[in-house]
Amino acid sequence: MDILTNLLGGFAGAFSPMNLVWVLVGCLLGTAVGVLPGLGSSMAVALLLPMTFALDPTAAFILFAGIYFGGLFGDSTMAILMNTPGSGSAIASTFEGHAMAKDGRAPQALATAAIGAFIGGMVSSVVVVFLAPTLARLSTAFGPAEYLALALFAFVATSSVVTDSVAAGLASLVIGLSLAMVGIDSVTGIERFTAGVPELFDGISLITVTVAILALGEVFRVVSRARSEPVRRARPLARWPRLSRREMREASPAWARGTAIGLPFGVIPVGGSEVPTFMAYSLERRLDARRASPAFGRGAIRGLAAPEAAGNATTGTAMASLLALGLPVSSTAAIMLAAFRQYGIQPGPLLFERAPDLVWALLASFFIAMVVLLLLNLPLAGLWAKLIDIPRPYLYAGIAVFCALGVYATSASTFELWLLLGLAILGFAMRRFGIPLAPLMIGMVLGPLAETSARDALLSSGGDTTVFISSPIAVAIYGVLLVVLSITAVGKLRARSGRNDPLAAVGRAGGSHTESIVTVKRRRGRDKK
Amino acid sequence: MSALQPRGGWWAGRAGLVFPLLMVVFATYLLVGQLTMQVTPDLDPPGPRFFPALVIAALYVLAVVLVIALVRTPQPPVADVDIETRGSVRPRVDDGAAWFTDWPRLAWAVGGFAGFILLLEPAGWIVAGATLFWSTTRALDSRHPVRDVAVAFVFSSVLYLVFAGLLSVNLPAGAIFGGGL
Repeated sequence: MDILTNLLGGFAGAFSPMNLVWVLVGCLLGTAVGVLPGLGSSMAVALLLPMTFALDPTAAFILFAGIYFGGLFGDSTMAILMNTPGSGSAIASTFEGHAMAKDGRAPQALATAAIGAFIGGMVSSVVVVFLAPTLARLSTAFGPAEYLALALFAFVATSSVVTDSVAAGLASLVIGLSLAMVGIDSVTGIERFTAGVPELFDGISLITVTVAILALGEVFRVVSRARSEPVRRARPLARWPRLSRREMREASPAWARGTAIGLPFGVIPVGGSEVPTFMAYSLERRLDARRASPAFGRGAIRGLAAPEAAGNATTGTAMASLLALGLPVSSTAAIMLAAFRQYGIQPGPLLFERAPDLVWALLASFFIAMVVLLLLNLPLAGLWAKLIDIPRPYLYAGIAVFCALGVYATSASTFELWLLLGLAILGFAMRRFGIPLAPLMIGMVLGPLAETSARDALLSSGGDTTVFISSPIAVAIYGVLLVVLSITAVGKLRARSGRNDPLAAVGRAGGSHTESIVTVKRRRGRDKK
Repeated sequence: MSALQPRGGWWAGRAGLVFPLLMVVFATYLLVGQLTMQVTPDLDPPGPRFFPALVIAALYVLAVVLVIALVRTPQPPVADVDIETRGSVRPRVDDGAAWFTDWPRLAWAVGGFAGFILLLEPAGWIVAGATLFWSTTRALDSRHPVRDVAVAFVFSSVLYLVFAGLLSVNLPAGAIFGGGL
């Protein structure tokens, strides 16, 4: 009952008029950035993060929750209307979602996505409310060896499971790790890799890296191809998004299954919600193949409902591992971690004791954000689609100025702006040469945790390396990691051994979800030619 | 990929070698830092050099792996869907040039940003921000340079009023308005 009292207290805090305004503003801003072409929810968070520093922490995080969930909504809106998913987690929604839109059922597709996101998000928020305090209590048993195991899990999983090329994923990860090494060593106070530049003593700011890699790097990429890529237009919406009773009945089981698949993935650090959305999609596909008249490929409502619910369910429970363990499992969660640190708050086991007001108000605002998004965005979906008509030069020029404003506002130094420019060129190069970006973000955020954990463990054991495998929790984490890796390896080998019909492979994917990710991506690649 | 004809000789599809080169340059910077680090001798192992040593070694090894992969199988530039944080699917235009980086445009964008940084403190936010906005519209091939100037100044002024005025974010005022607002 403790939890309910706390949550009610959180609602009391979140329901103050000013905070409600921030949820609303956050949802609007997040959706607006999310629907813009090429910009996804993580970019929405990165771009708007510096703006939140003008607020007090509670208001800032409430604003954040709105931006985050709004951004996700924008991602899937664009996935459906224009076949341009704003983030990896919306890719699975493009297959059936865009097919529905082409079939003239865009309003139904938007409603399916919005309701699916609402259900997945609501259920996972409830789970978070009950799970996070337990997780936090559990994690007090975590020592350096366990944290190192978790960090290594996140490193290996993000750089090998979700990406096509393991070498490219690891390269991105190691660049992230090395960026995080710059600055004064937290254990000994020794200055490292700063070349004597005083601005670097505190390390390279995660905000600068995020804005550079995710936002300004994307602007440069768009610029580099502006003359050769056509401007896309959304299909106009015929009417308000809504579903008939029959469509609701059709989609309901898929929403439930998607939510169930998505929930556990939020606490497993495999790099965001891409994996569960694809799993949910391929499950629905296989179920559909068994029916009398398979609907997949022609805009099956279930093929959209399941991944949408799974994506938001994962997003929600990802907050549990962020708040309770201090462990970000996606790049967006990594940015939120940076935001917490900016306020001098360290997520983790002690957060629930030290800042209960903030945590519970934040959790309560998840619920409010879901409701606001459902009520606000369904009627406004047609309006959002119009945002795409902003001339592209103005849109990206505006983003470039916002990047500069955000970084200068948080640092007030031109050195930081040069760093931003340099890292943005790195981000551009990574996009240009197909190096994934998420491992860099994860490496940058968890690198210091991995390093201090490894050193603390070794220091306290007197250099005995068996300390890393002496705890059952750590051994269990390594065990799960090995299982995940072998499933991935088998899936990739099977995908490589020449299947002529990748779509059939998705249907056959069996126990190996990663295979379906790889093959679906390949299929996308072929479609584009 | 088989449909693509290699253009531009051996380097076609191998421009990605720039990336391992960048990694080697960065790893070497870190190596120099590692060797010149001022470490007090009486520290218990593992000291501040322990973790960087692993990371630097990994950077070199991965750069070599990437080079080998690219030399064996060239990668023609394709805007793909698999970058987690972006993931946008973009149509391919079949005129060859679509795959290649438009260097003059990119120079406008990067140069504009550098200009912004140089201008920011002497000239103030409004002028510098408008410069950045305008040069980015140039980079994106905007056809209305004069209208863009007006839009740029309105945009950066509005941002200045909102952030410096309402939210009291510290933005340099510069020479305009006599250093205050």
